[in-house]
Amino acid sequence: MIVNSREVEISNLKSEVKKYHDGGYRFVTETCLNLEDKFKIIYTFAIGYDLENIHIITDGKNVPSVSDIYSCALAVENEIKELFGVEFDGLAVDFGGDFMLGESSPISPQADIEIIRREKGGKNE
Amino acid sequence: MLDMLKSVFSNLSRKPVTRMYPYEERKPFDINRGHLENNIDECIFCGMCQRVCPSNCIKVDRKTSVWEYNPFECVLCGVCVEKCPKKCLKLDVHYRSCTDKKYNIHLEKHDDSEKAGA
Amino acid sequence: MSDKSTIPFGPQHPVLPEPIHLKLVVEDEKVVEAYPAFGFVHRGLETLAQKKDFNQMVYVVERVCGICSCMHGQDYCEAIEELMGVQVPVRAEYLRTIWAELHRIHSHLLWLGLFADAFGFENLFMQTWKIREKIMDILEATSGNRVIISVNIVGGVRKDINSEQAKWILKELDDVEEQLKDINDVVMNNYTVKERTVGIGVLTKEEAYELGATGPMAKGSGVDLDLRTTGYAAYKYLDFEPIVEKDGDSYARNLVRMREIFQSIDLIRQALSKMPEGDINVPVKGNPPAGEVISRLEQSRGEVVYYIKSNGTKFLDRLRIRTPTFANIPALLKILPGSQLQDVPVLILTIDPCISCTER
Repeated sequence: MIVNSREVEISNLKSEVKKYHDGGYRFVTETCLNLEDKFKIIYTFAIGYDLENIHIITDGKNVPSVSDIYSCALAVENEIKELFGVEFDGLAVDFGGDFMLGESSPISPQADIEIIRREKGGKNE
Repeated sequence: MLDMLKSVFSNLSRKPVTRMYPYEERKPFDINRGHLENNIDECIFCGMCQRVCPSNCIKVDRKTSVWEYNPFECVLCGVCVEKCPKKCLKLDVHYRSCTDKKYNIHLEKHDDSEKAGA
Repeated sequence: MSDKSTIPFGPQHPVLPEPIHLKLVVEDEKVVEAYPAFGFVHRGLETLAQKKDFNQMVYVVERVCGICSCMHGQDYCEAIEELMGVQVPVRAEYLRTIWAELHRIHSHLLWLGLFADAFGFENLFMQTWKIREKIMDILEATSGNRVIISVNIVGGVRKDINSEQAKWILKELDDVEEQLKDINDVVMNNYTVKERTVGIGVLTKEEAYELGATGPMAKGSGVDLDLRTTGYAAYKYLDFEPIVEKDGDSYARNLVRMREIFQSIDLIRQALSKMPEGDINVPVKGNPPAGEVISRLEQSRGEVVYYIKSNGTKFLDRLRIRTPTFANIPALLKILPGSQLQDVPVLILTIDPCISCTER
């Protein structure tokens, strides 16, 4: 299916997602993309066999987490947090950088830009 | 409770399903992808195999007529065999025997067409 | 009054060959919390898409996971074909379906063996793997490799099944079905199996839908979702109904997988009888045009989602794979708390975990 995603303001994200949730949509996944110096996060929902996509453009800080609406989003949001370094606000469960990465692994290996830095001798912030 | 009994009794009278491997080997299927071989006499060093290889295990040098292949990086997908314009590459059905040392296959073509393994 | 203690489960564990780590907080024998950790086999395959051209990536995505490798390649190829507007020949669609269903059978049989092994039923484990070997032989004889069969390319398939092979496959499948029927009684009625699975790890229909579970995990809970009914590849020409069980416990998921094996055998028979003659691939010229595409299909573990963003060159901008196990992790975390420690291996295996898939 060719993707036609609709851009959503970050401030409206939660109300949009809530609309999908109340409309009986199933959460499929989130996809993070590297743009020049920003990130694009695509949210994919499904009802029956049909997909709908919305996306936000973010600089990687204070993205509202949708894991309080769809609790299953916490796995993918933790993954994006660790592989891309995007910070989510209000994650239902924050694995603190232990979900996909280990203590000695590189920080945000899939991101083109680095926004989380390793503290000296410590783990992710 | 005794659902398994039928297979237990039928297995008692049957021959073993497994083979006594080193003494008895299964015949490989005709299209088995065992290992890659190059008939260097026919090779024209076009470099097609190097370009299509997904694991970058083939290096072709046209100037010095050298075809080098790393069998330990090869994933035996067989794309190079399909794309080879001279059909000098071929997949043999037998697997390469195991070894304790990694090596490269180094094939050169001179006028007298000699073959050198490394 | 009892104290809580934390027990590490994995990454090395006798019942599970793949590395998943779970921190289990237990109170006596009861699990109260579970925290997973992955990343032991993360290979960065998604990033590799920016370094290899789109034809070479077929062989890379097949190595995301060994058990459903054929279907990974199929989904990737379908995504690229949709982006480029390529229509594959009908025979290629049928061949893809046949190999995908063979993969489903061998994946479910492998799972059934491991599952039996998890609660100590070694005999069942050996019987199922004995049957599975016949399927592996079919895969090897038709494609050249046992597991990573590398048959899919953008524009069709690489290998063909001739009429002699088709006859041989049907004969082998009859044999497999007969042996499976013996096993079927054991799986459905055996005291040991029932004792360890009935009522264990119950996931209700609402929870399964809400947590985004897919595949047998969702079907076992009564969620009627099977992407094969959308008719990709040759499923539009075949006649079948998705298999759904109501109970939502480990036993129901067990039944779904067991019945899916028989369904797959039936689908292969239908496909072999209806398969038309013709080309097996079409030449594909040029690079994929710039655009984004999502392609989904039903793997043995559930729905796999491929997101591909192309920029018009031969390298892809972004490849993202949402594998079925990743979608089933929240459901696993839901059923683990409240269970007994002895049931944890059974519960982990009941989602049919493929950790290499999850981490890519």
